[in-house]
Amino acid sequence: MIPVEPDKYREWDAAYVLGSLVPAERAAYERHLAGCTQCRTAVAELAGLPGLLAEVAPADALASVPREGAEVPQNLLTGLAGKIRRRRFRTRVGMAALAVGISTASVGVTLAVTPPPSAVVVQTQAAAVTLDFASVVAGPINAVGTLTSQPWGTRLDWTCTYSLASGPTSRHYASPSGLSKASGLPEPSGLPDAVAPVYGYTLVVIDRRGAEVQVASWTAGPGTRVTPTATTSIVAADIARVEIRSAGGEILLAAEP
Amino acid sequence: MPAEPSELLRSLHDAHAPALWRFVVHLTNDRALADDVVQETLLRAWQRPEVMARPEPALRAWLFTVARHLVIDDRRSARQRHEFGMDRPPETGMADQTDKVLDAWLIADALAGLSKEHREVLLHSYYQRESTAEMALKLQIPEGTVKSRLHYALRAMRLSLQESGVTR
Repeated sequence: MIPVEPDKYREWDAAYVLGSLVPAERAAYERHLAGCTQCRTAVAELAGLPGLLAEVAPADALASVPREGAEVPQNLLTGLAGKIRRRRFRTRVGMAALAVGISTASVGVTLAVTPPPSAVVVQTQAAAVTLDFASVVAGPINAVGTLTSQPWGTRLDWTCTYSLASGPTSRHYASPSGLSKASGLPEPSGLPDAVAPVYGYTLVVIDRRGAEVQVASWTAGPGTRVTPTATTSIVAADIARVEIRSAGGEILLAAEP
Repeated sequence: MPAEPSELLRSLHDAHAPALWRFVVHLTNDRALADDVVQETLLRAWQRPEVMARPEPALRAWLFTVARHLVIDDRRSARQRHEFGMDRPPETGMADQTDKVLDAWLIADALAGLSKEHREVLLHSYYQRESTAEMALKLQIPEGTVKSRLHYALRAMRLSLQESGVTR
């Protein structure tokens, strides 16, 4: 059914819901509603609002002033970057335990070295360079990854696959991570069967001048696949070599971009 | 491909910092402290992937709760520093009331965010229980204009409260 006077009532929904229509108009509007789906929908959409408005005490509502001058400071984000940077130095060791912690810390540098905050967003993604890791010590780990240039440095993504303990195993793959004993074998004898052995690993970036920096650490065990991400302020062109090491410091795999 | 962490931080800031900051200023009336609390709150969220993965309303609730607790902690340590002693009751039952307090604040904040004209008719209509005829007389505008302003004011409120996660 087509409403008789659609335009007349189109904007009455709020006044009706808020109880501000005078009695005669309210009655007329209710008669109209009976035959107008559109207006019924409009009323239904607003029906919850009086209940919400009731959560603000009338005195508070009337005392409130329009929001002006109370805008968030422009330097909040820049300040945030500084805060992250300072925290990075305080907790570098602790955060190194998590690859995500590393990304977190590195962004502090990102934001801090690009003072106009808007510059951060305008990052152009350079093509990724493949990292083909070759075994330095024979073992059950395969890895492949990429280096991606960023305006603030380099991002590293890689995937490590650990075969189930098969083939020759090296004691180097079983460096202590707190769980395994000094025996260092992939299946430490002292552990219950239910607990899979877990080993610690690190990713180390070596620049053209020979300086090295650990950019990530993680744990993994037989039969697992991990895909960590790390960032560094070293630019991609300066990265000579990337190594995966055991927690004990043994070089297991290496790649040269 | 996941967003760059820096973009994630920026979008977190852009989506939540303004309301969060006004909220803390409202609680403390201290802009410098608000800067600090908001930065700390955003940072804590950003460092917790499990928090960042939450749906928008839950993430917002988490942010406001953390900000509120930081304010409370700050007051506690200030009280200890100055040994205010017993002149303030301990903050009990805060956690239970957080949602309600937060909603009330977000609604008041949405009211404050309305245009002057919209806010005016809404205050007269809902909080002063005036009819459209009374408002027309007081505000010197036609009754049709009163109804129209109320229509747009309440829709603006609804949109704002949907954005802040108070209602769907």
